[in-house]
Amino acid sequence: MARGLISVVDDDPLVRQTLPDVLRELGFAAEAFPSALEFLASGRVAETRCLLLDVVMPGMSGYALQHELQRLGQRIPIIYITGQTDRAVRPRLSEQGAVACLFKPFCATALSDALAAALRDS
Amino acid sequence: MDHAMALPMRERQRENLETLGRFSAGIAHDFNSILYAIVGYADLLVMRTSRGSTERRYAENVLTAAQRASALVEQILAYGSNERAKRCVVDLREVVLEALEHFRGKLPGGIALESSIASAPLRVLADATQLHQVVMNLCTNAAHAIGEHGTIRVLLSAEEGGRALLEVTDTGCGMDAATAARVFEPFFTTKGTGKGTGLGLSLVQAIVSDLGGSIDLATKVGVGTTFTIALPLAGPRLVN
Repeated sequence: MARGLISVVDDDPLVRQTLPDVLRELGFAAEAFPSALEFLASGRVAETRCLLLDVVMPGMSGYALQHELQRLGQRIPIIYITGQTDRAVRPRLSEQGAVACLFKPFCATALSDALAAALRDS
Repeated sequence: MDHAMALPMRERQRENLETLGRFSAGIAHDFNSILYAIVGYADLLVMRTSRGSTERRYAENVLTAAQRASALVEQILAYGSNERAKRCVVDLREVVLEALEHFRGKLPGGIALESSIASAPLRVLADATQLHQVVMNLCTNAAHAIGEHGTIRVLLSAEEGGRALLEVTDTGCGMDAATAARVFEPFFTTKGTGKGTGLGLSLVQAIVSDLGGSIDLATKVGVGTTFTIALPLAGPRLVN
């Protein structure tokens, strides 16, 4: 039984392939988008219960998408997923209103915990 | 006894490592995504296989390997981060206490951790994350030198002349002169595969010398090793 749609926005095709498979195994419906603009144009924004969002992407960055969603009045909980290793970004992302920040490569347990927190808060 | 390498050679090695760090920072984003695919699918295999099965063990071994790769990337990247380090006045005492707390959680049962920490703040101009790494690397190294049973002693004090002194002593195997002479050399390790990257102590040295500090070691085979780090204090010591 699917537990709501989780959308993934990441420019890396490997992540777009892996993460939805892990999410489906955890019991969620999942869809992945290669860019912020494609997510915004997808028609899936309103039904997304949580957004797993890459920080650094060509074109519109993760931050910019977060601001755009706020501007559109969409209050989707955001979990940042980043390949950056600078742990100092975590507090900055929290200040921006992200529920959590996962540093790749993260394990399924960390993902599951972050999703539980995101969906509890929403 | 001074086991330090000639200064120009150390400088050159540090520069090489910083170049490697900067280069790695450029590919780290992609590399971590690739590692995520490996971890993600290994996780799925773990979920789909039964406990105790050969398949589960294979999947768990993939996870362990990926975690090692990830730790190695972080160590190499730490060299490049010197340039990005955000220096401000930090209380070394707080950083050491926090790092020891963190380290205690990782310590095997047979190793005791004793500490004597200055009661007043010791303010240094540094990047707290890097200082944390210095303490963790020295303590991890001490634990590896000990093996199963022994004691790690951490002393933090203020020295006359406005320097903070951090001493990490282990009752481990100690080093002969040839090993001690190479201990700060990048990629030099005596540890078995998977236990050490050979970057821990050279990173400590790079960070400490970048902060205008010094690092010394005293060691005796069969008795143990003490690493002593001295860092210049940033301002007047606050006396409580």
